[in-house]
Amino acid sequence: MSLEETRLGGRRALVGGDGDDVLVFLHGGGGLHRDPSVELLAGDLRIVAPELPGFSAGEDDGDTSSFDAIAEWVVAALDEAHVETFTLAGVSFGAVLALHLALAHPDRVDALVLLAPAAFQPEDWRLPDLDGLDRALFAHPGPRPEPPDEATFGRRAEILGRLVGGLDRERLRARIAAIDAPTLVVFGTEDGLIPPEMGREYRAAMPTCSLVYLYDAAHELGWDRPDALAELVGDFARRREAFVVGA
Amino acid sequence: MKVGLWQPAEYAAEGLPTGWPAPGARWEPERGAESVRRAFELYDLAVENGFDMLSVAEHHGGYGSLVPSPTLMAAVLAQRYPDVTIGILGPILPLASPLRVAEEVAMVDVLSGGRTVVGFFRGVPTEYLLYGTPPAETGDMFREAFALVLRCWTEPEVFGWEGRHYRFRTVSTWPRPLQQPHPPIVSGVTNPEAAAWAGANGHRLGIFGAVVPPDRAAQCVDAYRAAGGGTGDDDILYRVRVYVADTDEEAEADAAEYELGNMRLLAAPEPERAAAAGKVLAALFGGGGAGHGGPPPRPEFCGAPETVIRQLRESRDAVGWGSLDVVATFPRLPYDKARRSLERFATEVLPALRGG
Repeated sequence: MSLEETRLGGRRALVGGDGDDVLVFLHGGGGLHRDPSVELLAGDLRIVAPELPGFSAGEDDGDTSSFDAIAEWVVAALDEAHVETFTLAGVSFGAVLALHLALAHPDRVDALVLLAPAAFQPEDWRLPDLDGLDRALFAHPGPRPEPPDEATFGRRAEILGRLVGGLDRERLRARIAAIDAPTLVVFGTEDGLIPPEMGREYRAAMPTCSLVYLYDAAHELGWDRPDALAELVGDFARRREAFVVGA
Repeated sequence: MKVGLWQPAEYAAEGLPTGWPAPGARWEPERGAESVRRAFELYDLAVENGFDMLSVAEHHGGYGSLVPSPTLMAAVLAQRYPDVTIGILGPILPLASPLRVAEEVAMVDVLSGGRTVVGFFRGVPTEYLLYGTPPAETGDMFREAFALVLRCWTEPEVFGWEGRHYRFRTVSTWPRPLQQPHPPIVSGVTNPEAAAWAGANGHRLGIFGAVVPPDRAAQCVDAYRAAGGGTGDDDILYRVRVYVADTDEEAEADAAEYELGNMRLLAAPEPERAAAAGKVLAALFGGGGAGHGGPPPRPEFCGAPETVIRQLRESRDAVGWGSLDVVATFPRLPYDKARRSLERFATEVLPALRGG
């Protein structure tokens, strides 16, 4: 079932799918697109994928002062859609946002899916240059999200630099230990933006976390291997604790 | 320089018909026991004469090798020979669970006190036929399995693997290798591109002289070094077939009589059997011929001791190898001749080469 574009919280959103269980999908720094894996997940999950404040094309004066501010906007938008509890998935920047939302509203989040999350990077980490960016994001040729105009790109880059760059990582590491929602971290083995080994940071910090490597996918997991990712995330959203034996 | 002995523990099959695959009715228990005794006799000879490494491979379905499990043989060698490197060269990745390969190599590394080096192989069509593995998928399977084995050894957390050929929810490799993060990896290559990849990834370089001509081997070595590959003796391993007789004439006569060039391990040995295997693979999997390879008709290094010394010195200069892995047995060569050849190599050729 294809996702439909609608309005939520005064902004664009993609919604659709059947089923009692809701999967809220928080996009990454590239903005809201029809991620092929999310389209596939709309088979037996109800999908709500809002466009986050600051990420609209053209003018956007949403409150992007902090992850917490954006998380509060998401929760208000979900209230408007009468979504009470849900599996919360986020990609890269969206995964960091998901952690903040889960910390602020633990009663709303049944399970957490962090796709190539951007909270932790190696000490010598730097953004690839523009020529290397496509290779960092995608392991394979194929469809790509539409690139934004220059002004939108610049605004998104500013938000990413300010919020992700400004994270107090040690404080976050200590706080996420308290998350008790079953959590799945997925990294592509070919991720050129964030080393996939960063996945172990979450598993080490979060007692409820499982770590899965998605082979032959780069940072944009849902575009490189949509079927495999949809099956993985869908299975986790349905089974949660029965997904894997933790340790 | 360093030197190793590779041998497949051939079935002591003098007098038996050739052919592949070998029917079970040809298994004579006493010959099997004799085969293993001979294999250890050759390993003993090598170790007594100062060889640095003993290496094993994996082959299936014929008289050419009694070692379908290289890790099992490596474990035995590790206990029997406490001072040499154990070359696990190596598991055929598409035929086994990568998790089991990671566990068993780690196990041998622990059992040997950290003396292993390991190389991985894709296999050959006759082996895919025996294991029911689609030949066309083995390239992808090899790449994924290799990535997974490395992940098993290096990932400190329990993890899941969502691959294209392999899927696991809970991976917990135990034991881990004694050598950290893992034993040295020898990448066997046949072209400069693969050699550069090996160099860039910190692997050792392995070149099999029977399938890589000398000029191409030299290109591989150059590409390996240009990509940052190591420069020690250990870093470039040249596996070559060596036959040493008392005279050049005797060596050439034996090479012809016993078909020393025929590598029965790498393909169905007779063209008609290879064609038959190819038909079955095509019917089962839609393709993947069991090619009858065309290795050189004689060992790469063949002659009287002084001839082989000269050939190997020239090769060392031309190719740039640092270590040799010597293949000293041949499927049809009578055992006594193979043993004498290895003795000549160990006592006459090797000291001269070590001297310069």
